[in-house]
Amino acid sequence: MQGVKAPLIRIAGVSKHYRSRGSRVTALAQVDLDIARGEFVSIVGPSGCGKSTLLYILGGFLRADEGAIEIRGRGIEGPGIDRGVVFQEYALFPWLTVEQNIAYGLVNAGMERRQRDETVRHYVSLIGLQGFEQRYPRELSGGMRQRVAIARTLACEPDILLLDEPLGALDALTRETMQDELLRLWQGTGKTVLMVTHDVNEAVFLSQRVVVMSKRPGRIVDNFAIDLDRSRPREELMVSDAYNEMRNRVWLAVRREAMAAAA
Amino acid sequence: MTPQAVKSAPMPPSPWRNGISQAMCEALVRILRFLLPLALVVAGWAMLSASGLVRPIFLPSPLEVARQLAVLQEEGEILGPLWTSIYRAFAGLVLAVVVGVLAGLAMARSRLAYWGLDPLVALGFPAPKIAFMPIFILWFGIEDLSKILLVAFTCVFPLIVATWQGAIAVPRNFIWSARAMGTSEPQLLRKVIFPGTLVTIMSGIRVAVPVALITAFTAEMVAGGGGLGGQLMYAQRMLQTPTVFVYIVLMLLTGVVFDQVLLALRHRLVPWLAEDEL
Ligand SMILES: Nc1ncnc2c1ncn2[C@@H]1O[C@H](COP(=O)(O)OP(=O)(O)OP(=O)(O)O)[C@@H](O)[C@H]1O
Ligand SMILES: [Mg+2]
Repeated sequence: MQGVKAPLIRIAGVSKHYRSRGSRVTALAQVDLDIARGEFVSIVGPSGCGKSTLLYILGGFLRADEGAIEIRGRGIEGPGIDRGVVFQEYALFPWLTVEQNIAYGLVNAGMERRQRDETVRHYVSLIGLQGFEQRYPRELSGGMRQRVAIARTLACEPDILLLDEPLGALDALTRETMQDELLRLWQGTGKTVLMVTHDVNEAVFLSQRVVVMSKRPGRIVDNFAIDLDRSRPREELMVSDAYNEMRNRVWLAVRREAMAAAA
Repeated sequence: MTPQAVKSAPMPPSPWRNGISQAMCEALVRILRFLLPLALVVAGWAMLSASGLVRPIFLPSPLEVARQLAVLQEEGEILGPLWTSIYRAFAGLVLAVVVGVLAGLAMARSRLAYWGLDPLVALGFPAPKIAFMPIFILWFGIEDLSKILLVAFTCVFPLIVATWQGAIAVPRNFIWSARAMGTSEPQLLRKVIFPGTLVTIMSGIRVAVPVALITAFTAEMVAGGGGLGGQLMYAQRMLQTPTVFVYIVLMLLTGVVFDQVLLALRHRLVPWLAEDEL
């Protein structure tokens, strides 16, 4: 499944330690992961195992203490607009309205006014928040904020999407709708997606590959290639034997790690 | 899901069909509620002086003070000194806000600025500023400049500290997401750190406003040079107790008006905050 050509993202032997109040916490230990251009990869693993940390390193916000990371064959210098990040805590700007939050990256990119308004309108309707354009984040529910955070990142049209539990705050139905949108976007644009999620169904439904991490210090313990025909409608796909067998295998692996973390 | 649906929720029938009258009515109620305790104090004061227990030279009646206000107004002794004091307090405050915000942001973002400024803040914040008044008069004269600078000197420290604390508390996620959306390092200050600090800056200003007034009035009382404080000390020397009270009342009212204006502005400047967070 991992193509013959050089991977877009290469993570080799990456470790990360946090120092706080005199003690040292190893968040990541010797993580290896290659991601091909256009691939959709999900990371699942117990809470606190270092998933967000890995995303932050790829985002260029933190530096790895050991190991090497390359994107397009080059080291990471810092954050860049080629990598769009959706944060676990949304990180919307509270002083900007929904519309202004979504337009933030577009303004930075110097997009001309009319085109910008149109783009914002497009993403507002994509996330189903028409009528809320002038609201501030404080006036939105958690799920609505999360959708704005997704829209804001998508509007920048990055090549690589780093999503940290992007749908975690959504109700089951909105979540499925957003999953479908994400899938359509990925299929339509060929973006490379690395998504952290706690939802095994979501991971299997969306990804070509599901990576399971161990409890802290996080290592990669499983790597499932998911070979499903995603042109089929959701109802059909999710009841198919192929899907369920895959889901069960991933679920068992995640459960094993979760139990180890609890022990 | 739409705001229209929220708006059309059934409302209890109201005699005020029109939103403006209702808002005015609410404002009126708020003002009355604010004034009631004050009215009680004035009533107590009136009763005390009417009882004859205190001689008018120590405590003139409210009526007497009001009459004196009218007399002073006739003589042009009210608005001139009032504007002088307000101008000094306001100019000093503006200067303090500009310098304090810049210094606070610099301290939060640059290690060098922090090293350079932190000891100065530690030294200057607790210093009794009025002790500098004689020096300031020597350097900047007896008129406006020395007072404006003393007000600025007093107010700048709470503003530096408020700004610095607000700026270092801006969540790193804001900074990171801004960077990932194409914000350069120099833009960060203007587009993320400053707006992210504005709420704390506003709180700092709210603390600084009464400090500015107190400093302006005190400086005038200590050093003269006009203004409400200067007039008050002059009247005191002449044993004109009603006049002293007129100026005291004006100082109190100035403080309330400044604070109310600021509250109204806060709503404009940080519209993303809920009413009760102000
Ligand atoms: N700034 C920090 N200082 C010290 N320790 C940290 C810091 N950030 C994270 N950690 C530690 O690193 C580990 C990994 O954190 P991380 O946020 O990457 O976990 P996660 O897998 O994203 O968890 P979750 O699923 O709960 O979001 C945690 O055990 C946490 O305690
Ligand atoms: Mg996390």
